[in-house]
Amino acid sequence: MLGKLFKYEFKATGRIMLPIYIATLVICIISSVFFNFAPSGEWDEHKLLTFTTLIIFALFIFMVAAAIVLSYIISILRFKKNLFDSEGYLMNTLPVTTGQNIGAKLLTSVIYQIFTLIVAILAFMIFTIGIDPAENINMLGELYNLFVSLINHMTGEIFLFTAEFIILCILSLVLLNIEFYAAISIGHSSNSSRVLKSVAAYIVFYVIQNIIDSILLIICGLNIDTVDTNSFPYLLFTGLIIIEVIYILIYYFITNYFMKKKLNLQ
Amino acid sequence: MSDVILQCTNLCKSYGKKQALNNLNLSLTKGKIIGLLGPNGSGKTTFIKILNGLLTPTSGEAVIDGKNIGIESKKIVSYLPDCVSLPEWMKINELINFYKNFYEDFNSEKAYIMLENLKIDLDDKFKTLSKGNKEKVQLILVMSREAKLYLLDEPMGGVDPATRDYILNTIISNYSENSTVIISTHLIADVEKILDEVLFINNGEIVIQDTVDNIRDNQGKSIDTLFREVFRC
Repeated sequence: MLGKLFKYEFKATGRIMLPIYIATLVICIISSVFFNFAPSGEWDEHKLLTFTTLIIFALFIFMVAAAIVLSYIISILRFKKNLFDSEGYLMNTLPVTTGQNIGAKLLTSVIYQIFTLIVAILAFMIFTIGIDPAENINMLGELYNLFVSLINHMTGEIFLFTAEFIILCILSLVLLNIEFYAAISIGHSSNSSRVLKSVAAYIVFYVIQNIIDSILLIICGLNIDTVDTNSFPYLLFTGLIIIEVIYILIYYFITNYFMKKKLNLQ
Repeated sequence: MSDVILQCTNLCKSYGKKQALNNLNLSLTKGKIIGLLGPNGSGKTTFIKILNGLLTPTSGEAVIDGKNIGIESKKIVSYLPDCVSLPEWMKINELINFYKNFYEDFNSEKAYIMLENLKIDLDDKFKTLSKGNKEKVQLILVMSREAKLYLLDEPMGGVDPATRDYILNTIISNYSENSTVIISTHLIADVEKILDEVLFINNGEIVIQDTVDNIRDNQGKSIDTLFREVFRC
């Protein structure tokens, strides 16, 4: 069932994200062309063209930033629309668990957010490759060689470190989304001012989490002498992973509880 | 094998101080079309939402075909909400596939035939349909499931008389012998002709549970007349 829910959610979100990706890449190509063929030097002579190029460049930067921000906004909007607005009558009466509904949204959101980052990186690469093709392709080649040698020299330690880093990044994404979902599920259990209450819930979460993080930081700082410097990075990452997992579980339980017991479709 | 499709025991639901369902007790046998009738605010929608799992009761329990409210009961209950709840972006074809994917008892052949009779193009997006057609498509999908219990919440609200007839016909021609249909409505004069039994609900309690024949023969009244008497303002 989770697979089926995921399939539909992926499709529904893709309808919105795909045009955004296409727009980003189109603007990237257009601005790349302008940028590379814009005449340099005499600002006065080609005022209009240079000005247009600058505008298009600004648009490009804006588009990439917008795409990244939108991947989060759409995750929030889809969660609310599909589960708490009128579509909620359909989704919450399907023979699936609330956990499966939440899981499908979470998985889809994280995947699209990663996609969006990849598209952003690609866009920048396409943009800069035009500036000096030869040099850029050289640089790419060098990067590749560096990467290969890194892998060849990869010891168990570095591998563990890299793996932990990647896991931490993914967990951070999951945490970001599930925190939004928990806030939405609380706010929408109410009869009025649902969106406002969801925002309020999110602010409360944010503040409490920051307080807890600060306390943990202080505790870490106080005990720092007892840790040997070699194992410090791994301990830090392992600690961070554990904390993120705990936060994720807390928010998940909140979301699950409110959706199961306090659902209030209007 | 039990004859009882629905058993409610001391079902209560309160919202703060307001008591929406007040110790509701009910036993329904299989194979009937039942009207859940009551004025606005009597608890009809709350009751239906508890049966399909959208609300949890404050106390008491409801058992559908021997199953507690949960995934197993959702597999055998087909629910029509009183608003349009299908994703607007999907094409009609995709909606049929959606139902087919999630409900084992969904009969897509039935759905295709009913949609063809309405001359609805399967390639159209749901959002392009008129309000009346949207309601019909939703009803068709719900009635194309071979469910044990159908819960229809105000299936005829806001549509013209001809559409109401269509809806009533669709309901009668699609429910199988052992299925039970609960129709919650206050358009009693329209729905009366297809009902086997009626439940009058007021202030969260069942005040009358009787067969339509009994009421007509013994009291010599139509359901509509009885309703107006019982719920006189």
